[in-house]
Amino acid sequence: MSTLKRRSFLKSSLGAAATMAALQAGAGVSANDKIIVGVMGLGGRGKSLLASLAKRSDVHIKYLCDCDTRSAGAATEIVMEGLDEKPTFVQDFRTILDDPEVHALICSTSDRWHALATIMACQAGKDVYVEKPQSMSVWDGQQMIAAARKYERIVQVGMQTRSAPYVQSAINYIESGKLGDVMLARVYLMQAGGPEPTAEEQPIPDGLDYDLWCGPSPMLPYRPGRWFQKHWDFYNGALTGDLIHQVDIARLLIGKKAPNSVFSAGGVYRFDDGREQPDTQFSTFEFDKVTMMMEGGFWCPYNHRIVHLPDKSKFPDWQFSATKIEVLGTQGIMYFGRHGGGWEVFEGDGKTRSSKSVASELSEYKWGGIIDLHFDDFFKCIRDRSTPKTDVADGHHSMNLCHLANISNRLGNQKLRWDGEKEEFIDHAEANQLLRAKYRDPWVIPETV
Amino acid sequence: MIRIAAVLLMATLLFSPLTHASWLPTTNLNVWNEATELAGPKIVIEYDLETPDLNPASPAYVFLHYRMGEGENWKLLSAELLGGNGAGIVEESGHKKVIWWGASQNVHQDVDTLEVQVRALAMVAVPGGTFKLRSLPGQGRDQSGRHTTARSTLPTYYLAKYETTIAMYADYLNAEGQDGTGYHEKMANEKRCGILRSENGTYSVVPGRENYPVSYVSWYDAVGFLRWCGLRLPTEAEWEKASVGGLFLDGDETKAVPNPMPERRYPWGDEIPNAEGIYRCNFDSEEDGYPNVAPVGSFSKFNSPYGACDLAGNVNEWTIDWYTTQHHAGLDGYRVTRGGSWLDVPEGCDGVSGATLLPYKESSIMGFRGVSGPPALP
Repeated sequence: MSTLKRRSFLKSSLGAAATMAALQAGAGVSANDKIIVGVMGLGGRGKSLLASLAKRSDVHIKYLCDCDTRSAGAATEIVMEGLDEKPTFVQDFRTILDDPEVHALICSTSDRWHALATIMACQAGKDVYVEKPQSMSVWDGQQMIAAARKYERIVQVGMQTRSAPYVQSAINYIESGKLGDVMLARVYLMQAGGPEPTAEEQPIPDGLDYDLWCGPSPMLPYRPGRWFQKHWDFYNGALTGDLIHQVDIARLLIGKKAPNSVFSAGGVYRFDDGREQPDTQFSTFEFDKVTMMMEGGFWCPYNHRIVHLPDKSKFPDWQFSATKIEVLGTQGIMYFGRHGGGWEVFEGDGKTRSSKSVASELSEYKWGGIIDLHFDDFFKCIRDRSTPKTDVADGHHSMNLCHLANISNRLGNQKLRWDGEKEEFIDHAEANQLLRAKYRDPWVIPETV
Repeated sequence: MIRIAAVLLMATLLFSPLTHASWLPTTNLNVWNEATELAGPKIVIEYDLETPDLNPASPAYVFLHYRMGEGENWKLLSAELLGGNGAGIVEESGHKKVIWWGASQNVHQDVDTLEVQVRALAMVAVPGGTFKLRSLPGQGRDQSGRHTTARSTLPTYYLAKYETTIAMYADYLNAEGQDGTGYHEKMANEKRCGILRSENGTYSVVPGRENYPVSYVSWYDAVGFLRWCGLRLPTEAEWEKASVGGLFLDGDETKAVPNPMPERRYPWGDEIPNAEGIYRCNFDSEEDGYPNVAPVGSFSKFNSPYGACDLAGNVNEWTIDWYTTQHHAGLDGYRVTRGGSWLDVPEGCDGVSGATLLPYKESSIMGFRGVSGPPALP
């Protein structure tokens, strides 16, 4: 294991960034070369991504990185079993950025590191795969796009459903007009849930760089577990943190970029566990004549996630699908499932006064298979420098909806008007104050990337 | 007493002595039927348990299987149905006698074909009492539901002294895995495991690998093996207490032996595994003497306060607890693992940190050991 000691963030990273990028930007990867990556964040999501990466013959995983050295073993094993190579483990992701051999950073940390790691990687001339939700604020996302464009980097966001083949056929169906005029999209995260416990404060364990682990977030006393996910300063919220998948697909299906307004209902109604983010959240976005409704609640045991369905060769029981997307037109309604749920359109029959399925597509790919496809797209784009299916800008526009909903909620569920071009609230200074997250020095999203 | 010679002969001849070093040695198995006038067959099983150093702190766990003739399935003899001094937790070596009131009411003709196997496993006792629980078992969803992070109290239980070995697991496969259940091709890897499966469904151990911990076992494989033994996986809390010790090492009943370090991070204390150039467990370094897994008990100078070996490093160990978070939708059912492995950094081998893994994962860093004690569920 190699460990990099703390150093000046501004001096080592931002100061050297332009030089590094100038040396590395545009450095293509030939078809025969393996793409060299470092993976930052080795928790559950990181290991899921590694399981996909370790199947690829076109990738060399040079680095594994986590602030917590205790996560090294299981992640290393995945790579050794899959690729018969042993990556170098590092605690500080800047080691990866400093290595000119590395082509891309895979960022699978928790939310708080996504934006800054992406920006720093772009500055270092690396392409980036960053997990969702990509940002903690609207400002984060803007600077991520700016960095990607300035340094001509590929930045793919981990909303992998866009890479599922059945997405394009759904778009084609809607664009053909068969659904009629689209009037409403509804996205759901309505499922079972429960309280999240908080352990007592403890000494920081050996092997954990807790300062770096907190990163841009406040360095609160150490506790084991996932207590930190209950705080706005660390996390976007359990609802919007997962609803971003559905919001992104819905926005893609209806072809809209930014709403004119947002308002929310809901709050912490169910779980008295100290969480700051709502466990119940209903948000409405107005896009001219089209409306999107986002429904989130952790008190619906009768609904089920598609990935958990016992028979994945069938469509979900749409009525009880916890993570469905509905697109309602004047002719029909489309149900769309993430996790490989496929899509199905129903129309009404005026004669029988009943509705029936008139078009559908099952998904050949499920869950992990769709992650594989998303990486296919990412690595193709690294080689040919084309735009990935979930480009950082696409991710940003979708994530903005989640940020807007959360800001509405934090301001007492106010209705807020939004200027999508300027990306600011109209005549609402208090709301605009929340367009930037709080950052802990030196881990601050830079004004100029 | 009516000794039935045929039964004695049959049982003796059909019993295959288990020569794997990983089981404690048992010899002189003898089985006979003492017919009762009205109460059905009373089967007596005698054997010698030859491990000299058994005692209440380091007992054996003895479990027995029987079948009613060749070709029949072997079944575990529930210790709850047995009397005598030779089944379940056995605290002294020597001659043992087990009384079993038969397999069914259908008596003597069944007894004639009876076959019995006896296996004994080294355990350590963890006396009941309070300990300092520093982790958050099951990430807050400890299956037992009895724990807080401030303090926790557990009744007496017994933990296997060693990680389950390749020899033990191959023995289990030969008994239960003819159809391949519990076996994965990766187990043939001679550096990290070393169990070979023949075309006829029998299993053999690569010579020299008998006392290495079995790996490439899923959580389900571990549960399958332990059910065969009549054991279960430890809860996280049980695993942690076995590693760091209770507030009193002799338990709360006597409180005569205070734990000098009840909040230690590692089984031996607070020094990291390679402090001052001393290697205390098998972690990710060839300098500890083992580039991959090490034979169980290789670091016995650095046992836990109760004498359990290799809780730190070597193979990461499955627990019965699962990880769930309602706070990131859908992450439910990851099992919690403890202890770190031969691929972990030294700090990853501590006694108070948990990791998570999907239960079907067959990994070269995963192993397990069993517990005999009260049910994990309240």
